[in-house]
Amino acid sequence: MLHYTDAVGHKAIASQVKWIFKAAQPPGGRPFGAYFTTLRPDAHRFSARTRIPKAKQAFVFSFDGDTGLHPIEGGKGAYIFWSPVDYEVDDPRQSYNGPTEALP
Amino acid sequence: MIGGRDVIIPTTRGTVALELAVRSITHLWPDAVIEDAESGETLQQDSDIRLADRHEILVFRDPKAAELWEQLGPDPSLDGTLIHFLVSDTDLTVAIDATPVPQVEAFVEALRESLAQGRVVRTAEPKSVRR
Repeated sequence: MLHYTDAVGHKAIASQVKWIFKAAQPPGGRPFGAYFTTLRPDAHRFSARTRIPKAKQAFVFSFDGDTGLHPIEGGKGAYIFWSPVDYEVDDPRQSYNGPTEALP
Repeated sequence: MIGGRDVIIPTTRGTVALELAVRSITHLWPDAVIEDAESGETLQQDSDIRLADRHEILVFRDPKAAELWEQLGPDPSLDGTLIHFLVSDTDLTVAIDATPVPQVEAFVEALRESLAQGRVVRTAEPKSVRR
């Protein structure tokens, strides 16, 4: 599972031993929550499919498992997931954080 | 943060619904670029477009928009230039801008009605496309 963010977001989340992805209100009437995707940055038309702004694609967190995450309603639920509350990922599940271009 | 808005239209018509949606948007955007989002294949635009076994289609307003989306991502300058369709056994998802331009909003509403009635969408004429 992947979570994309900008430099500020990366610094805030990566500075903690346990990653905490804060729930927030996204645009477009989506439910309040923390959002994740299984799409890798090299997926065809990543930007068009996720509509994640380029600045927010700069850094990425990668972790194992999806406990507590739900597919969003509709077709994008195949690769976009959310948590209605802050989502915590402890150390054993963490696999990578850093520049998106270096994602293994 | 995931962006945009997803309009979910209940329908069990599957491929037929997807084809109707794509045909309809090409009436509005005659220079549209149609891509299979999963395979990356660019599809020929014609009145008899066949989308069997395809589940996720991106339609860019024109070739320039298709190019700029790759460079800029969801930049405000590209509002109203992309409609993204995803079909399942139970619904058609139409992914649009978080605050869609009136033309796109009207298209989606017309599509919703047309899917219920089984006809091709007619909205604004191509001349009214915002460039």
